[in-house]
Amino acid sequence: MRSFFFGPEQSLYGTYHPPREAATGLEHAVLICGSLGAEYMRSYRSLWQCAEALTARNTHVLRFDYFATGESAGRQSEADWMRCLQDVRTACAWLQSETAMNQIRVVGHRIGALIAVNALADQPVGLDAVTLWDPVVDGSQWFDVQQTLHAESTRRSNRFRSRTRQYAERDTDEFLGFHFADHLVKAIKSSRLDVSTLAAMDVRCSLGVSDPSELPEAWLDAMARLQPTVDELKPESRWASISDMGRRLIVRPSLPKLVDLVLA
Amino acid sequence: MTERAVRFGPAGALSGIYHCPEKAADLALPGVIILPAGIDQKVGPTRLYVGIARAIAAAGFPVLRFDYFGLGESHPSPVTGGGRAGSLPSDQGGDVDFALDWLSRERPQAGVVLLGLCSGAHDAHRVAARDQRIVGVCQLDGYGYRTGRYWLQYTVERLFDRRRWVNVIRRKLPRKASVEDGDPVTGDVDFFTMPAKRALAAELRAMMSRDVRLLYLFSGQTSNYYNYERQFAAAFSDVDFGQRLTEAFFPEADHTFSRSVDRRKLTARVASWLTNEFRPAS
Repeated sequence: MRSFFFGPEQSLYGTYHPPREAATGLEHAVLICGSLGAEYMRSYRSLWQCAEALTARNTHVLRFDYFATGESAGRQSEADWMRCLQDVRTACAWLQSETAMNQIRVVGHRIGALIAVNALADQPVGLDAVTLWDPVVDGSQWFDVQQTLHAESTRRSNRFRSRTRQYAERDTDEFLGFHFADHLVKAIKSSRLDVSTLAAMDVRCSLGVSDPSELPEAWLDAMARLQPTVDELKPESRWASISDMGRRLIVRPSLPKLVDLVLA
Repeated sequence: MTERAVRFGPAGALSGIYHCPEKAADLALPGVIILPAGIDQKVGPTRLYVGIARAIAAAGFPVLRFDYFGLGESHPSPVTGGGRAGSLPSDQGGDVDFALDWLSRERPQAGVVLLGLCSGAHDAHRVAARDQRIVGVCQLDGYGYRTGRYWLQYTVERLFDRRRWVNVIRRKLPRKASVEDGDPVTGDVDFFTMPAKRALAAELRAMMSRDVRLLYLFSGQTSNYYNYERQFAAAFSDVDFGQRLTEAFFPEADHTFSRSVDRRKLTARVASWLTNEFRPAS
């Protein structure tokens, strides 16, 4: 495993997990695109574990942080949707170049799925398959949930503030401790994970879902036409629940299924 | 300032980021190690540690942030086996010692300041109490002990808080149950236990004799044990801190400094303390 900075002005932080020495089977290369904000924090270790599990199946894996998030350069206020899309393409190019593999697979977790599909829709060259892991299919809906969780979270933490400052925060540009600039909010809200886009990309698709009720039925029906490999993962984290805000995503029980999905 | 991803510890199991000041290194300045908080990865809660590290590196201090064994991007400890799942994060696996060894090799001339939030603050003290290389400790929401003035302020605030009286009445009334209401937002885990006051006083005296500098910062979320600035010094009036103890209270901030305005204030305070305490006056 090797962590490093790459991309324009070495502004992106990435970690490359090479295949394990004893690994056998067909060689693959997988790019993992994570989520943003509080979901980034909650799923970080699980994405690392997912990467490590894939290396045991002879897979090269790259995880990375979008510009102005995580370990990458930039302040939170500088995060930008178009830059996120570009970062996915930059990471793809790095992985292809490093591994000399023409075909790579992409795993998109939560809003990372939305970013990955939108980033690669126009340029699916070299893209072999896409795994959508608990995908966010409607940016606007995702943002509404973040706002609700933020209001509830601040309302609950008010007991630690002086009485004059107690209120549930709404209409703010900070959500659960993460700043989202207006232009980023606008871009996320207008983004959708369209099945037609996936169909046009003409790549194999797999879907890992913890809680199918969190996905719109119409979207699931449309997806069914693409005949994706689908598996239900253990529901270890409820993304829209205030009670689960302090909990980390625990992926270990679902790892074998998830790895199978990615490499299907 | 440059940032470098580093691996250290047994078999390179520990993952860290080293912030190296761009200017010619001032070898008199200590390095700073930021210790993980709870089960968060090295970016810190709400990316707090990234901002602090970049600000203090810009002030000329080299900084190392890292993940404990089995957290973030670090492998489980090859010595103890397994990860930290199910156990409380602390320095028990020797994680901090490996970081200290790494930074001391990188900068052999200067001492080290440890900074940590919550369980990280607890770890910072424990290591500082036994390791001579530590020249400073910055605790965020770390140790605190109630004093007479604390109880007075606590009582007065509650007496005049209308909401608390309303709550008392509400509790007496029959109430519709809510599934989520009352669930802890941050989980019901205690990440560290407050040490016995007398034992801590002895450790603080020993640290003062080594001229260790202390910065104790408290958020409003510590209101169950800290509610006014200088309370820590008052609780340890039998320890001669001299000018070595600095306290700051951020009553508006929550435990993880989740608002950017609070993060900015905190970061500025830490950077100015480091500069005042460790940068020789020119």
